[in-house]
Amino acid sequence: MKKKNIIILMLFLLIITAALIIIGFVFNKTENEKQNGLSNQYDVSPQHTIAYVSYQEGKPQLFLQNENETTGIMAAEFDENTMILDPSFSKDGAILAFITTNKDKETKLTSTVHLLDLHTNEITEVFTDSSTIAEVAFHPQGSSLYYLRAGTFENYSPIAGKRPHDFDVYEFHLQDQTLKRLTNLSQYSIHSLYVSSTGERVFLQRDDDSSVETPEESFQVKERIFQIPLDRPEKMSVISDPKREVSVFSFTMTPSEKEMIYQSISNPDEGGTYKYELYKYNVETKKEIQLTHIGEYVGDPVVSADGKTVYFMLDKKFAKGAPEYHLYKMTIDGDNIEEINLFSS
Amino acid sequence: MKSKLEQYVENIVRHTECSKQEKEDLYEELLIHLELSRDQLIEDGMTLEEAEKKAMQLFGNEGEIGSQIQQSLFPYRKELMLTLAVSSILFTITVYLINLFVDGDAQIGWLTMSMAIGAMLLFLPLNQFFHLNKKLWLNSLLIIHALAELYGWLIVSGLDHPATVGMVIWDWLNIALTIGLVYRTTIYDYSPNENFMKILHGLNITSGIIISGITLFFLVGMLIMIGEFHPRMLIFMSPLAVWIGLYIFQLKIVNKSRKMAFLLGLVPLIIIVLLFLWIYYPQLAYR
Repeated sequence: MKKKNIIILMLFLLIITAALIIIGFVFNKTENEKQNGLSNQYDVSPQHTIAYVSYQEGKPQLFLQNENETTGIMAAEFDENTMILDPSFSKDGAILAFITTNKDKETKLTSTVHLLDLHTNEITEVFTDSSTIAEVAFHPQGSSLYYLRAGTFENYSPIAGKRPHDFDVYEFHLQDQTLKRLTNLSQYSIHSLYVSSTGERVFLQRDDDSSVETPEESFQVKERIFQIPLDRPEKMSVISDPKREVSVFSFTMTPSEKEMIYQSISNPDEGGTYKYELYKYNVETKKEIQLTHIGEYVGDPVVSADGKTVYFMLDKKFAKGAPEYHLYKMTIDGDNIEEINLFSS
Repeated sequence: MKSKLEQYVENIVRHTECSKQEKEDLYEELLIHLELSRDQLIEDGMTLEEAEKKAMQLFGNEGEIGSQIQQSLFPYRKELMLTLAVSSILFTITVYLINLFVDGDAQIGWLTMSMAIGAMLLFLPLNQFFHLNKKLWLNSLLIIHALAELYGWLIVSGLDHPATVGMVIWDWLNIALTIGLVYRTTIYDYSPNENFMKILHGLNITSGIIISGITLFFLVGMLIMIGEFHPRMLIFMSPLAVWIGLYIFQLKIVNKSRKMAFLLGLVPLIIIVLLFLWIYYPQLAYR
């Protein structure tokens, strides 16, 4: 090929590359703008109203939809730098608490707890804290809010990514606007805060690291469910099976508090992709049964106020990219699984 | 000043992808042949100028002759290089645009690097003006190209798009062709015509590809887990460093002790086989 033609060919490639770079700058989206679709953050009221969070080009939207209706109504929307966490109904279902927190935790930590009055549709900011507030739950009488607060966002180990750490349970009194630290755990991680019907105990999921003495033993730590009497938090104890070989993750209690529904791995020894299913464990008889056999990623259980129905999220794209959540329900014994279609308007 | 015959032969040699030494040998051979033909024509009664012109006419068009020599020395090499270059450039543009419009992710760094490598791969077989076709240059370019294609595979794997499977197959065909060209460049095209050296290079390239694959697997795994680069990750590069060191050492000692060089060439492969046996058949180790 002639020298001139080669130069023309190279210039052509250069122009194409430059054009593609310009197109890239125009259509590139920030990480915050990429999130789309239903998240796994939801709750169900005693009136069967489902509060759920969905994302539209990174913007979090809070929707309310009655289980028997076909369309959800948007109750709140925030900008693409914010996410909505843990919508939680009060015991009577009249008020919904939820958290907004910034997505970019590298620059600053800030979280705000909001209340949505379902009669007036009015949203009020309860308080803002320079931390990550991960979960919120009402006191049974509705007088205060319990919440999980992570004080730091860092990597404890050089071979781990940055995550919220230094967890503890706090209480915020709605009447006198005061807050109180209820536990002194400074825990690596805590999930699934559940307040007992009397408000005297909380249940939560965390690492069972009580017997760890050497760094090697820390790799064997299992995640279990604990109950903490709030008048004597040091009397914290494991209420899930303390000898269970596989960790348990997201969980909830039944209204009687005699049973718990939790997520765990059904195929820990098979190799390949883990399958997450829901299990029911009776605290008194210590018996466990597997509720779901879907073979994918099932989690985030919520039990209805009458204790007859279990709601859960199924991620149909687990380990295949961005999650694609679908909401399902079944009886408390794991029968009649059906999808609840959430339609956002 | 160079004679017309010398300029003519230079043009022929330019169309080949030989090494510098090979080009010099070819130049000399062709020039002698043409000078003999010219002298014969002068003896037949032509002037020097007429004889040179006639000798070149009888030999043929320099571009065609050069290409024929290239094809006979390196059959289909030019076509393979051009195929790889065009395929890689088209793959890069396609993946970049799908990733941008599906995921909103503009991989500008990868695009720039991949297009630059594609352009160089395209330039090499078309180039007749500079001597760039040394084994080291070619292999370095092909290896960097394979890494860029592997990164392309990571991008495609993360895409949620119906074209993903086809794109993955396309990418691995490009990688296979690149690896094939590395083998060919090292063992066939630019090696001394000696079977022992071909075997030694073949052993080393095979273990190098496996070690690079394992190293990249761990590096990417760590990057996914941690989310950012950490200097301690470089420890996973140590097997690759040992392999490079061993390869260089073998080439240094091969003239003194072929046996030793061969044994050293086998070491990485034996370790790899033992590791795979230990991972997949651990019961063998504890019998």
